[in-house]
Amino acid sequence: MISIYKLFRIIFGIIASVFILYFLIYYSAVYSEMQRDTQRVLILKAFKKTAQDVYLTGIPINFSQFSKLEFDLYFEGTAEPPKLRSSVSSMIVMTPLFFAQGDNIFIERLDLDYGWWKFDFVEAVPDMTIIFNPLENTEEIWDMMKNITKTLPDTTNFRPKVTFGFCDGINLDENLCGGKPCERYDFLNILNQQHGGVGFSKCTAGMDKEKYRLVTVSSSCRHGFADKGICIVPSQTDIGNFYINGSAETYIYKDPLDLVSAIIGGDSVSIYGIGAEELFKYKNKILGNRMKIMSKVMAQRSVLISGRLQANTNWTECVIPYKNLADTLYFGGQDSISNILSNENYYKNLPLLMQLKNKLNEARAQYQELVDKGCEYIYV
Amino acid sequence: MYKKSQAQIMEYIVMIFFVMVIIVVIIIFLSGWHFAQLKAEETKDASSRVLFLTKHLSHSPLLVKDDYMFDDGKLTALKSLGPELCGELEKIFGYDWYIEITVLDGKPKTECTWSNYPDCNYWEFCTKNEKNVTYDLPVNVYRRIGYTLSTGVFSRVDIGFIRVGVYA
Repeated sequence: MISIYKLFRIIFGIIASVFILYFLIYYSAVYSEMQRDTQRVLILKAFKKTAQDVYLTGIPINFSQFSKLEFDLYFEGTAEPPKLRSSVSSMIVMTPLFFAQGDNIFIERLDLDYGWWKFDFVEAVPDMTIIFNPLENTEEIWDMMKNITKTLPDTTNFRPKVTFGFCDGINLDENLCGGKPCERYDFLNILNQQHGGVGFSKCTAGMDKEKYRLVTVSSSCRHGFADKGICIVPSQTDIGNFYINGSAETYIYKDPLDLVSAIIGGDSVSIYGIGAEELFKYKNKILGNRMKIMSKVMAQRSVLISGRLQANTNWTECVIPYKNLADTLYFGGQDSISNILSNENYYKNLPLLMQLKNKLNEARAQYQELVDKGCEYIYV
Repeated sequence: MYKKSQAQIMEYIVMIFFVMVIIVVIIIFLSGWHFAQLKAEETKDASSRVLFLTKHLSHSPLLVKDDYMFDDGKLTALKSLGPELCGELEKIFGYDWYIEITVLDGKPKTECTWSNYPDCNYWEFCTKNEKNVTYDLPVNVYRRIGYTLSTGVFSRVDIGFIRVGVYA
């Protein structure tokens, strides 16, 4: 016969063990999740540091730590300040970054050279194949493809790979370099070859949105013309329209980075919107802000130095070119670069962009004149 | 018999109590360790931020001619941007920091302004009287109006140092 004491021992033992077991399982689950989140934050920080190091040193590198854990990343470039968001945290990124998510990322620094200033930026991209679909055979289109290719990373001797190819109807021509996919250098050689008589038909081949980026180039581009990627209207002035699949907006490009930012962003839709649209807006916001302050500083510096040169010596050869540069950059009123960029939506306004392009060309020539006369240094 | 049972029950309760105490101590230890790690990470963050900021500022075309060679003309021009300056710089380099650039020319420290340029040797941006973590680095300073000869005005390069701070 079981005694009351034994019964108590059994019931108490069961209750206590269940309680302790529940407590331990619950806590270890929470703790292991916490550890995973900490790990995610550390990986995100390591990525930010790597991207910053590439920005400062210019040495390209690959980053593979995203493959260790499941990540859902998004680069929120239009936020103030720009942030790299994950499900557990967000991180402010002050260096210009064009990012597409993947397990393995290749990071490289490139630049836009304006003569009087260089805009450095970092591209961080996973395995990616850029597929061109040029529907007409004109020099503008081939030049545009060359400029886009030059503004994308060169992954030779690295992994992951950014490769290039063509699409012709239902066929994807990816293995153009000795039976292998072409990287930047080899693909530029192909684009530099004679292309008379070459013709492509509209791309209808199926492709994975994550890996492939379709770039259709045609004067027929309009909303809905290409059902994947971006569609670019070629232009003789280097300023023209382009369309992003899934977006009702018409975008204007003025330099290759406008197009490359949209290509890297891709036409996948997240809760924040279309990646291509977000990166395109980010590019114009960050470039506009930096160019505006840089143009003010360079203009003030030109006035300061030309004033001292005039006051201290009879050597006045530099004075007029300095004054011209200062006017183009900042002191020229309505037409100055700084004033054009003070309109936040400058990149949506075609007449303003035409004006900006002219002024940038003028500033480049004026700075070159200063360099040629020995008044200024070449900006490396 | 009754008392013995009661004593054994008490024994159980005390044992369970100690098991619980041990579990709670382990939890407190693990959580404490975790938070200490986060705190250490925060301190490391401040020092790595100031180090990155130093490199970023020494690389930025807004301030330099070449990496680690500050351009005195750009620095003085920046000063002339007035009260909006710090807000503009924060858009590029982030919030809550300052920089001081000093030329080591053996002369008394004179802050550069539009009127005294180039007879000056010191610039400071966004300084506040607050607790901060700092980093010093020797740099070059490019003096555009370096020296004047009958044949023209020539540039020179001086040695200086920068102090970059991040407000805690």
